Amino acid sequence: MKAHGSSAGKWAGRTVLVTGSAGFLGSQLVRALGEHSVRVLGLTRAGAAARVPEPGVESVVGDVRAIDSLVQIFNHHKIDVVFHLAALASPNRSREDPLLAFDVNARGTWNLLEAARGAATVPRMVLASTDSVYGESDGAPFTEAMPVRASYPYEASKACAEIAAQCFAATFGMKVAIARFCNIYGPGDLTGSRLVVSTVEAALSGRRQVLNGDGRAMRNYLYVDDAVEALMRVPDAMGRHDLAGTVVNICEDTPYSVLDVVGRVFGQVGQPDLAPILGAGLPGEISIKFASAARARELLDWQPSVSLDEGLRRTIAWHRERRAAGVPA
Amino acid sequence: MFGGTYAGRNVLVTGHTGFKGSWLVLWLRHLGARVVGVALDPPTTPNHFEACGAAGDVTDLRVDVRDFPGLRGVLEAHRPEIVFHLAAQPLVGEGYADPRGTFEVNVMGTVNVLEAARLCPSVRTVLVVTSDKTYRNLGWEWSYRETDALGGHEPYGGSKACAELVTEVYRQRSFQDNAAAPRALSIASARAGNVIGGGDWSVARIVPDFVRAAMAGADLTLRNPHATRPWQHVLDCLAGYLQLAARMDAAPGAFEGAWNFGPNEAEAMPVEALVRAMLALWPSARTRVVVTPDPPGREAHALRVDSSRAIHRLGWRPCWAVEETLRATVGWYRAAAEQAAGGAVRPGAMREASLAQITAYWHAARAAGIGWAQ
Repeated sequence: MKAHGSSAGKWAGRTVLVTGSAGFLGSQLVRALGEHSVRVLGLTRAGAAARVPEPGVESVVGDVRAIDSLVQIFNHHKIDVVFHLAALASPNRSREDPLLAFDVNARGTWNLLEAARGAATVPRMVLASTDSVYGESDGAPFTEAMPVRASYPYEASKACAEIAAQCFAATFGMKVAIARFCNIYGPGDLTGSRLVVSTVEAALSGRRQVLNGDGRAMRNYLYVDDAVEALMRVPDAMGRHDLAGTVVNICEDTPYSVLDVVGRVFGQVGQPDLAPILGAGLPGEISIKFASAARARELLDWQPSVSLDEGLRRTIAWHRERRAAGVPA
Repeated sequence: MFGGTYAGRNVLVTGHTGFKGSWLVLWLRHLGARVVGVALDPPTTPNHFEACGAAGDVTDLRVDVRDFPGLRGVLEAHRPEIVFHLAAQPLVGEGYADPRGTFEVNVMGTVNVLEAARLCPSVRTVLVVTSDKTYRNLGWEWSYRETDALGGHEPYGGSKACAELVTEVYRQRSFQDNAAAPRALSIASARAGNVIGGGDWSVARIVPDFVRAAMAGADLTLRNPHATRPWQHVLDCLAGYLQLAARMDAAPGAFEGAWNFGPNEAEAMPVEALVRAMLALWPSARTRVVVTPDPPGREAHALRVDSSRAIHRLGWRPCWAVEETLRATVGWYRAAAEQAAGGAVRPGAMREASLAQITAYWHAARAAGIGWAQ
């Protein structure tokens, strides 16, 4: 598969604020932006400043939960585009601490919207969301017109963030679009609760993968470079289409079962006979969840360019390099 | 009334200093409940809460629902069994002026109340009051049912749609059982709108706007004269809330989810007709009606809720027709105006007026054979 066109060439000279710039997707995004002569501001919480920012990223101290800090940033910098990626992204952690999930994911979003609304030049915004807001599927792919059916704190907090963004778009004409991502994987992700990370680590360690369920759950997976490319296309697409308040699924169209993904990883690592250990399902886990990227193809002129096998190959190579360099898993 | 549920029970009302909240406090006290209220100061001057001296009916606490530790402390100290969550930023117009504040109060306030309730072992039942504006307004002529899609397009409606999502999460057994501190609660939401009655002095609502004009002898400008709204008396709506919470308390798990409480279809009336009907009930008012239409697109038009679920399952239905609703409403304000004009406010007069309306409403509901009133 080939990416249509490219996001390159349109970014030079712009100032971009990325919240969550130290996260998995955020760090890959700022790296890509850095290749296009973009001034990248990475929102960094005061206590987290010790972490070394990506090269070329200017740390701006603030917190999505503290609106005053956001207002200051918009007062001090003329920001053209905001990518809002900061979130409490763990469904399990959100279940344990729902206050924190709503505080960061929902409240953080309307704080950012309000601060951006008050800027001298209101920036274009992209809110990163999740296809988990769709809830359970009846087997058909999720399309953006379907209602949200969030029944856990993480999903509901992201759905609230989306509603806030849509209200700011409809009420104040803010150019904010919503990117609903499926599972993103690739080099740079170290979140052990994610399937690809834990599977690659298990395979490279010669351990059997232990699954939470029976492995038949269907998901779609998107290689991180494709996710970044899609994100970077949204602001310019806003110039061609009225995307204010619009939701766009960003995903690979093809769903794969958990067992299929595990099998591919162990096959590539040379351990095809190391079968996973199956377990009982997690409460609330969605058994079938995959979205259609038809709208993204149409509006963003985008489609994934990295197949699952190729993406897994690159991901495994990255984990191998880390291990060879002695970086702890 | 209400199967005797409330006599001697500990009940928490958030937003008890507001219009609906203060009527609810009076009614709960009338039913024999011990009421704890958490709210900010009354939102307007004057207001129904102070007009009725309702502070004497309630453990009157000034706690912001955005303050989770404060809220949790109240629940731990007072151990309510039933919680009515009414505290909100309730005005569509204020949502445009302060969208962040509106989301903050209406969404995080709901999260905080539900989390505090989940962590408080005494709480059995929580009723979250949202709004008819929680629905995604598709502009159609049918009434909206509880199963229709959510998603207000402006900050107030959007914040109430979010409050519904939050409520649904907390209602889910799968969440309750797998939360850090598992405990089952009965949780429901109530959706109503265009509620009128004595004692509302909010800004940019048609009845208080009319009352202010009538009391001042001023002209009244109508923004949306032809906008047809399903007007409902506050006691009609509160009877639904009280009956729903009573049924949830009696049969945990059986009456959860979302419930619409709206008036009969026939009670819908254009704004201008409503105002002229109120003028007819207040003959001494020298108010003239001036029509200055707003630019289109501000408020959602003609959204009605379908109350079939509540009517068929709860033993509730609307009681007062629009004529009685307006008679009670205007009667209350005229009494308040006479008190104010006399210069010597008789202590307890407006409290008596409100309690008399509660009693009259109950008698009307009983005579009509409505389940909760028997």
